[in-house]
Amino acid sequence: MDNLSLQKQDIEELRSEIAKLRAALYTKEQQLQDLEQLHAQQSGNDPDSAVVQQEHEEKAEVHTHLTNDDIARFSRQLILPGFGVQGQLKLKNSAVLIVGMGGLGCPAAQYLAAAGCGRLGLVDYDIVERNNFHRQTLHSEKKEGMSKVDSARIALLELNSSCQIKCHTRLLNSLNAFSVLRAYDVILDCSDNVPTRYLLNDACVMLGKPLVSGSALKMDGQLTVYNYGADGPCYRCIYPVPPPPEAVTNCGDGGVLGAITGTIGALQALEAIKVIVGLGEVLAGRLLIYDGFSNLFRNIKIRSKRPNCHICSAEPLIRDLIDYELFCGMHATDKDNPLQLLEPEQRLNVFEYQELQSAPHLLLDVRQPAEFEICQLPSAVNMPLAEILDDSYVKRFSSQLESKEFPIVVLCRRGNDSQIAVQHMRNRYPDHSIRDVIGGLHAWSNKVDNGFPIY
Amino acid sequence: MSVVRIGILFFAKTRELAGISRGTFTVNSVVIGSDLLNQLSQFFGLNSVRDSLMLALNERYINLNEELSLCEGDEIAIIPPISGG
Repeated sequence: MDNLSLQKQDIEELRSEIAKLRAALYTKEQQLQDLEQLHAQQSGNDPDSAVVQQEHEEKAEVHTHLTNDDIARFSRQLILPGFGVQGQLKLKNSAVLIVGMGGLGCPAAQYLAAAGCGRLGLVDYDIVERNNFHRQTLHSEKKEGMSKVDSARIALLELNSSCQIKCHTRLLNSLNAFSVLRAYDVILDCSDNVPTRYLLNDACVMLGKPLVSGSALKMDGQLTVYNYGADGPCYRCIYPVPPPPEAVTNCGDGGVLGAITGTIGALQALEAIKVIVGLGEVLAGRLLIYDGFSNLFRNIKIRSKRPNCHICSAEPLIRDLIDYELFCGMHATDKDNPLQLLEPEQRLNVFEYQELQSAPHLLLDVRQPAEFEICQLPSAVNMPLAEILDDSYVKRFSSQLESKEFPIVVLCRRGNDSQIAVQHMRNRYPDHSIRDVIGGLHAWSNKVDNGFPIY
Repeated sequence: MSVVRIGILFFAKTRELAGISRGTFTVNSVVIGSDLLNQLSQFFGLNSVRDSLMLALNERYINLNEELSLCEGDEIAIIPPISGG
């Protein structure tokens, strides 16, 4: 090995070592923070009463004046009419919980910390991955593999070291939601899945907290504030029934532009600030719809509280948090849920397909053309799932379909759509050799060809 | 009963399903919200997401039980929920 490649290796090793040390340091700091809090609680008058302790903490933390640093730092917003010193003090004394440190949560947290929000809570169970960077702007290359909340905390403290940041590295669920949410004044829904949206809604209604709800996908965004004001509806007033799982697309499958999540996330921070400071007209009872294709914003006047809402009406049917994954029939993460539609003999593993590669066969790649363009296997023919399902393939591949023995192999990104395609094709051609590749191109990359790109 | 032509705006998933971002639709001027939703879902191929759609008439939410009086040129927005982030 020459000198240069040795140097390069040393650089890589040092980088990885520093990243690990940094992660360990922040884990320890979090442990210290948790222990200190526990210690403070247990040395209080009533060790069993978290509520008393919480009130005590809040009392100890009420700020009644701005420091010179505050004045210098926030001068540009202090001079805003309607905001001023009182607004800044309200922000300084406020606690905001941000659920989801992804494309929405990062910009929202960034603007709240920068604006001088006194306490921020960050919730996320996930770790930083390379495919986050294009939109999750608090996470950077050196923090790949670190928990998202730790990564966000590091970035936020660089921005404003006086912001108190509490990390909740966990998946929010019915058991822990109250204890996490209780200490905060405003909750931001920056999550990426339907069960979490219902969970946050119900918990916020029960605790009487405003919920600033943002969402984004592809080129679209939505924003509103639920459970705010006397007539302000909740998420269930608008969407009493969850959408069917097959109608829900996540960013991992549908894609999203960072500037779209950034736009909505920044607006969530704005609404949170307005709620806390009492500034302007809060976006409650209205839904902001953003169409990034034409850069069109629309404000839809949405209904007021639903009189028979299951959660926020005077006589609610739901009196405690429920199992939201069961209620929605979906997982509370945006990770893929592998389908199991086909029998084992209708499927090939990647090694079996590798053997088949040299023999005559037809390889149908059922991904979208934009995905096919990213990467494809040799001899693959792009035939998007929709064109399988509308039977366009029958005419196009009539010669290959003449023989029952001719192997037809169906491939997609992760082995879900390929099963749907095979199932559909086998209805018409039950005795043909039509099989899919288990785990799709991800499995191919992991097991056969490490050089094959993953997206 | 008269017939009117209204403008339709599609958002998010419905834009993909319909294949257009705006269109027009001819409908009876007096129609129940849920009936309008059914007709639109049928015509523009939105049946797979029909049950989770919100309709807005001239930027105002439509209660699906309510009887609407539509005028020529009214604008209906079809809004599916988005859950991504």
